[in-house]
Amino acid sequence: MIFITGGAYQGKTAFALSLEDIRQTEVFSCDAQLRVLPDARVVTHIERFHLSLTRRGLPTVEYWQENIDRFSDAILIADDISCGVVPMDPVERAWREACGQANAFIAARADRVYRVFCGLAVRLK
Amino acid sequence: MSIFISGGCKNGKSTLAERIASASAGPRYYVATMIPHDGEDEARIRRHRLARRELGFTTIECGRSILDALQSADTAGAFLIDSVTALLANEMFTEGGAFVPNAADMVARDLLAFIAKAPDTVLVSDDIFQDAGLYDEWTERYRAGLGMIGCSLAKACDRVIEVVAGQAIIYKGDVPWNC
Repeated sequence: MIFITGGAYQGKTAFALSLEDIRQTEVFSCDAQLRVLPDARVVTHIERFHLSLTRRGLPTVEYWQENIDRFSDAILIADDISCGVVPMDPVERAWREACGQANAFIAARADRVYRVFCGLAVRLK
Repeated sequence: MSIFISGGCKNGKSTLAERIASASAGPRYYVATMIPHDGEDEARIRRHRLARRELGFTTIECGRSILDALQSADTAGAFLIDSVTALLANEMFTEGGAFVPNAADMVARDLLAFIAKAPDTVLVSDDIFQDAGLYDEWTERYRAGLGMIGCSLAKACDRVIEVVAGQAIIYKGDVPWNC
Protein backbone atom coordinates (compact mmCIF):
# COMPACT_ATOMS: atom_id res chain seq x y z
CA MET A 1 0.00 0.00 0.00
CA ILE A 2 1.18 3.48 -0.88
CA PHE A 3 -0.18 6.58 0.84
CA ILE A 4 0.18 10.00 -0.81
CA THR A 5 -0.72 13.28 0.84
CA GLY A 6 -0.03 16.98 0.33
CA GLY A 7 -2.03 20.13 -0.33
CA ALA A 8 -4.89 20.37 -2.81
CA TYR A 9 -4.02 20.71 -6.51
CA GLN A 10 -0.38 19.68 -6.06
CA GLY A 11 -0.33 16.89 -8.66
CA LYS A 12 -0.71 13.95 -6.25
CA THR A 13 -2.74 11.78 -8.67
CA ALA A 14 -0.36 12.49 -11.56
CA PHE A 15 2.50 11.43 -9.30
CA ALA A 16 0.63 8.20 -8.35
CA LEU A 17 0.13 7.38 -12.04
CA SER A 18 3.87 7.87 -12.61
CA LEU A 19 4.73 5.27 -9.93
CA GLU A 20 3.10 2.27 -11.54
CA ASP A 21 1.56 1.33 -14.85
CA ILE A 22 -1.96 2.49 -14.04
CA ARG A 23 -4.69 3.68 -16.36
CA GLN A 24 -6.84 6.71 -15.54
CA THR A 25 -9.88 4.38 -15.51
CA GLU A 26 -8.42 2.56 -12.48
CA VAL A 27 -8.56 5.76 -10.43
CA PHE A 28 -11.60 6.19 -8.18
CA SER A 29 -12.29 9.71 -6.91
CA CYS A 30 -14.38 9.96 -3.71
CA ASP A 31 -17.10 12.53 -3.17
CA ALA A 32 -18.60 13.78 0.09
CA GLN A 33 -21.75 11.66 -0.30
CA LEU A 34 -19.92 8.34 -0.68
CA ARG A 35 -21.09 5.60 1.72
CA VAL A 36 -18.83 2.67 0.86
CA LEU A 37 -15.34 2.74 -0.64
CA PRO A 38 -15.17 0.51 -3.72
CA ASP A 39 -12.09 -1.59 -4.49
CA ALA A 40 -9.79 0.34 -6.82
CA ARG A 41 -6.07 0.50 -7.59
CA VAL A 42 -5.98 4.21 -6.84
CA VAL A 43 -8.42 5.98 -4.52
CA THR A 44 -8.17 9.78 -4.45
CA HIS A 45 -9.80 12.39 -2.22
CA ILE A 46 -10.29 10.05 0.72
CA GLU A 47 -10.68 13.27 2.77
CA ARG A 48 -14.07 13.67 1.04
CA PHE A 49 -15.06 10.15 2.07
CA HIS A 50 -14.05 11.09 5.63
CA LEU A 51 -16.33 14.14 5.35
CA SER A 52 -19.17 11.82 4.32
CA LEU A 53 -18.53 9.54 7.31
CA THR A 54 -18.25 12.50 9.69
CA ARG A 55 -21.49 14.10 8.47
CA ARG A 56 -23.26 10.81 9.18
CA GLY A 57 -21.68 10.59 12.64
CA LEU A 58 -19.57 7.53 11.73
CA PRO A 59 -16.00 6.96 12.95
CA THR A 60 -13.18 6.98 10.36
CA VAL A 61 -10.36 5.06 12.03
CA GLU A 62 -12.75 2.17 12.80
CA TYR A 63 -13.78 2.16 9.15
CA TRP A 64 -10.15 1.78 8.12
CA GLN A 65 -9.48 -0.87 10.74
CA GLU A 66 -12.18 -2.98 9.13
CA ASN A 67 -11.36 -2.19 5.52
CA ILE A 68 -7.61 -1.53 5.22
CA ASP A 69 -6.88 -5.12 4.05
CA ARG A 70 -8.87 -4.49 0.86
CA PHE A 71 -6.32 -1.81 -0.07
CA SER A 72 -3.06 -3.66 0.57
CA ASP A 73 -2.04 -3.26 -3.11
CA ALA A 74 -3.69 0.10 -3.64
CA ILE A 75 -2.54 3.72 -3.68
CA LEU A 76 -4.57 5.91 -1.30
CA ILE A 77 -4.46 9.68 -1.79
CA ALA A 78 -5.63 12.35 0.68
CA ASP A 79 -5.60 16.13 0.45
CA ASP A 80 -3.93 17.52 3.57
CA ILE A 81 -6.58 19.76 5.15
CA SER A 82 -4.84 20.10 8.52
CA CYS A 83 -3.10 23.48 8.32
CA GLY A 84 -5.85 26.11 8.51
CA VAL A 85 -7.60 27.90 11.35
CA VAL A 86 -9.75 25.67 13.60
CA PRO A 87 -13.14 25.66 11.79
CA MET A 88 -16.12 27.34 13.50
CA ASP A 89 -18.47 24.60 12.31
CA PRO A 90 -18.45 21.55 14.65
CA VAL A 91 -18.84 19.07 11.78
CA GLU A 92 -15.86 20.59 9.95
CA ARG A 93 -13.86 20.46 13.18
CA ALA A 94 -14.71 16.79 13.62
CA TRP A 95 -13.90 16.15 9.95
CA ARG A 96 -10.46 17.70 10.30
CA GLU A 97 -9.66 15.54 13.32
CA ALA A 98 -11.05 12.44 11.62
CA CYS A 99 -8.77 13.06 8.63
CA GLY A 100 -5.71 13.51 10.82
CA GLN A 101 -6.33 10.28 12.71
CA ALA A 102 -7.21 8.29 9.59
CA ASN A 103 -4.16 9.57 7.68
CA ALA A 104 -1.85 8.60 10.54
CA PHE A 105 -3.51 5.17 10.75
CA ILE A 106 -3.12 4.56 7.00
CA ALA A 107 0.43 5.94 6.84
CA ALA A 108 1.51 3.70 9.72
CA ARG A 109 0.38 0.65 7.71
CA ALA A 110 1.58 1.80 4.29
CA ASP A 111 4.76 0.46 2.73
CA ARG A 112 5.58 3.88 1.31
CA VAL A 113 4.36 7.37 2.17
CA TYR A 114 4.89 10.45 0.02
CA ARG A 115 4.10 14.14 0.36
CA VAL A 116 3.70 16.02 -2.93
CA PHE A 117 4.51 19.74 -3.19
CA CYS A 118 4.06 21.50 -6.56
CA GLY A 119 4.27 18.16 -8.37
CA LEU A 120 7.49 17.16 -6.55
CA ALA A 121 7.30 14.21 -4.17
CA VAL A 122 9.22 13.74 -0.94
CA ARG A 123 9.25 10.21 0.44
CA LEU A 124 8.40 10.27 4.15
CA LYS A 125 8.48 6.51 4.66
CA MET B 1 18.77 30.43 -12.91
CA SER B 2 14.99 30.30 -12.49
CA ILE B 3 13.73 29.70 -8.95
CA PHE B 4 10.19 29.00 -7.73
CA ILE B 5 9.51 29.77 -4.06
CA SER B 6 6.31 28.92 -2.18
CA GLY B 7 5.20 28.39 1.42
CA GLY B 8 2.86 29.81 4.03
CA CYS B 9 2.31 33.53 4.50
CA LYS B 10 4.83 35.59 6.52
CA ASN B 11 7.37 32.76 6.53
CA GLY B 12 10.10 34.80 4.81
CA LYS B 13 9.56 33.87 1.14
CA SER B 14 10.04 37.41 -0.18
CA THR B 15 13.05 38.04 2.06
CA LEU B 16 14.75 34.90 0.74
CA ALA B 17 13.79 35.83 -2.83
CA GLU B 18 15.29 39.32 -2.38
CA ARG B 19 18.47 37.84 -0.94
CA ILE B 20 18.84 35.48 -3.92
CA ALA B 21 18.03 38.11 -6.56
CA SER B 22 20.22 40.79 -4.97
CA ALA B 23 23.28 38.53 -5.25
CA SER B 24 23.07 39.00 -9.02
CA ALA B 25 25.72 41.31 -10.52
CA GLY B 26 23.56 42.77 -13.32
CA PRO B 27 20.50 45.03 -13.13
CA ARG B 28 17.86 43.89 -10.62
CA TYR B 29 14.16 44.29 -11.18
CA TYR B 30 11.41 43.82 -8.66
CA VAL B 31 8.15 43.05 -10.47
CA ALA B 32 5.39 44.04 -8.04
CA THR B 33 2.06 42.46 -8.96
CA MET B 34 -0.13 43.82 -6.16
CA ILE B 35 -2.60 46.49 -7.27
CA PRO B 36 -3.16 48.91 -4.36
CA HIS B 37 -6.78 49.34 -3.27
CA ASP B 38 -6.50 51.83 -0.41
CA GLY B 39 -4.19 54.12 1.53
CA GLU B 40 -2.94 51.22 3.66
CA ASP B 41 -1.80 49.34 0.54
CA GLU B 42 -0.15 52.47 -0.83
CA ALA B 43 1.73 53.11 2.41
CA ARG B 44 2.97 49.49 2.45
CA ILE B 45 4.13 49.78 -1.15
CA ARG B 46 6.06 53.01 -0.36
CA ARG B 47 7.75 51.29 2.61
CA HIS B 48 8.74 48.25 0.54
CA ARG B 49 10.00 50.39 -2.35
CA LEU B 50 12.31 52.31 -0.01
CA ALA B 51 13.63 49.10 1.56
CA ARG B 52 14.30 47.55 -1.85
CA ARG B 53 16.07 50.64 -3.23
CA GLU B 54 18.87 49.91 -0.79
CA LEU B 55 19.14 46.41 -2.27
CA GLY B 56 19.55 47.94 -5.74
CA PHE B 57 16.18 46.94 -7.20
CA THR B 58 14.28 48.92 -9.80
CA THR B 59 10.56 48.41 -9.14
CA ILE B 60 8.26 47.61 -12.06
CA GLU B 61 4.55 47.76 -11.19
CA CYS B 62 2.77 45.10 -13.23
CA GLY B 63 -0.50 43.74 -11.86
CA ARG B 64 -1.52 41.90 -15.04
CA SER B 65 -0.14 40.97 -18.49
CA ILE B 66 3.15 40.08 -16.82
CA LEU B 67 5.16 40.00 -20.06
CA ASP B 68 4.72 43.80 -20.26
CA ALA B 69 7.17 44.01 -17.35
CA LEU B 70 9.95 43.01 -19.76
CA GLN B 71 9.23 45.77 -22.30
CA SER B 72 11.69 48.34 -20.97
CA ALA B 73 13.93 46.01 -18.94
CA ASP B 74 17.23 44.28 -19.71
CA THR B 75 16.25 40.58 -19.92
CA ALA B 76 19.80 39.60 -18.94
CA GLY B 77 19.12 41.12 -15.51
CA ALA B 78 17.71 39.47 -12.40
CA PHE B 79 13.93 39.55 -11.91
CA LEU B 80 11.87 38.94 -8.81
CA ILE B 81 8.14 38.42 -9.39
CA ASP B 82 6.20 38.92 -6.15
CA SER B 83 3.71 37.36 -6.26
CA VAL B 84 2.17 34.79 -8.58
CA THR B 85 -0.74 34.70 -6.11
CA ALA B 86 -1.67 38.36 -6.63
CA LEU B 87 -1.08 38.15 -10.39
CA LEU B 88 -3.60 35.31 -10.75
CA ALA B 89 -6.13 37.11 -8.54
CA ASN B 90 -5.84 40.24 -10.72
CA GLU B 91 -6.19 38.25 -13.96
CA MET B 92 -9.03 35.99 -12.76
CA PHE B 93 -11.16 38.56 -10.93
CA THR B 94 -11.07 41.84 -12.87
CA GLU B 95 -11.61 45.24 -11.29
CA GLY B 96 -14.89 45.50 -13.18
CA GLY B 97 -16.11 42.43 -11.29
CA ALA B 98 -15.84 39.96 -14.18
CA PHE B 99 -14.57 36.39 -13.76
CA VAL B 100 -12.04 35.20 -16.37
CA PRO B 101 -12.31 31.37 -16.55
CA ASN B 102 -9.10 30.75 -18.50
CA ALA B 103 -6.98 33.19 -16.45
CA ALA B 104 -4.82 30.45 -14.88
CA ASP B 105 -3.88 28.96 -18.28
CA MET B 106 -2.99 32.44 -19.49
CA VAL B 107 -0.89 33.24 -16.41
CA ALA B 108 0.93 29.87 -16.59
CA ARG B 109 1.70 30.43 -20.27
CA ASP B 110 2.89 34.01 -19.67
CA LEU B 111 5.11 33.06 -16.73
CA LEU B 112 6.71 30.20 -18.68
CA ALA B 113 7.36 32.67 -21.52
CA PHE B 114 8.75 35.14 -18.97
CA ILE B 115 11.38 32.72 -17.62
CA ALA B 116 12.24 31.67 -21.18
CA LYS B 117 13.01 35.32 -22.03
CA ALA B 118 14.51 36.29 -18.66
CA PRO B 119 16.10 33.11 -17.28
CA ASP B 120 17.42 34.78 -14.12
CA THR B 121 14.01 35.04 -12.45
CA VAL B 122 12.78 34.27 -8.93
CA LEU B 123 9.01 33.75 -8.57
CA VAL B 124 7.19 33.91 -5.25
CA SER B 125 3.84 32.16 -4.70
CA ASP B 126 1.79 31.10 -1.67
CA ASP B 127 0.81 27.74 -0.25
CA ILE B 128 -2.96 28.11 0.25
CA PHE B 129 -3.69 24.43 -0.26
CA GLN B 130 -3.63 22.77 3.13
CA ASP B 131 -6.63 24.01 5.07
CA ALA B 132 -10.08 22.55 5.72
CA GLY B 133 -12.09 25.38 4.16
CA LEU B 134 -15.09 24.40 2.04
CA TYR B 135 -15.00 27.22 -0.48
CA ASP B 136 -17.39 28.64 -3.05
CA GLU B 137 -16.90 27.69 -6.70
CA TRP B 138 -14.90 30.85 -7.59
CA THR B 139 -12.44 30.48 -4.75
CA GLU B 140 -12.06 26.77 -5.55
CA ARG B 141 -11.31 27.57 -9.19
CA TYR B 142 -8.76 30.14 -8.06
CA ARG B 143 -7.11 27.52 -5.81
CA ALA B 144 -7.09 24.95 -8.63
CA GLY B 145 -5.56 27.55 -10.96
CA LEU B 146 -2.83 28.58 -8.54
CA GLY B 147 -2.03 24.90 -7.85
CA MET B 148 -1.74 24.18 -11.57
CA ILE B 149 0.52 27.23 -12.11
CA GLY B 150 2.72 26.10 -9.19
CA CYS B 151 3.13 22.61 -10.68
CA SER B 152 3.95 24.08 -14.13
CA LEU B 153 6.52 26.50 -12.73
CA ALA B 154 8.06 23.87 -10.46
CA LYS B 155 8.53 21.64 -13.49
CA ALA B 156 10.12 24.41 -15.57
CA CYS B 157 12.28 26.11 -12.92
CA ASP B 158 15.85 25.09 -12.06
CA ARG B 159 15.15 25.26 -8.34
CA VAL B 160 12.05 24.79 -6.18
CA ILE B 161 12.04 25.94 -2.57
CA GLU B 162 9.44 25.85 0.21
CA VAL B 163 10.11 28.41 2.95
CA VAL B 164 9.13 27.49 6.51
CA ALA B 165 9.90 29.94 9.33
CA GLY B 166 12.52 31.62 7.15
CA GLN B 167 14.26 28.32 6.42
CA ALA B 168 14.51 26.85 2.93
CA ILE B 169 13.40 23.31 2.10
CA ILE B 170 14.89 22.40 -1.26
CA TYR B 171 12.67 20.21 -3.50
CA LYS B 172 14.66 20.62 -6.68
CA GLY B 173 18.16 21.81 -7.58
CA ASP B 174 21.09 22.74 -5.36
CA VAL B 175 20.93 24.72 -2.15
CA PRO B 176 21.10 28.42 -3.18
CA TRP B 177 24.59 29.86 -2.75
CA ASN B 178 23.59 32.50 -0.26
CA CYS B 179 20.86 31.10 1.98
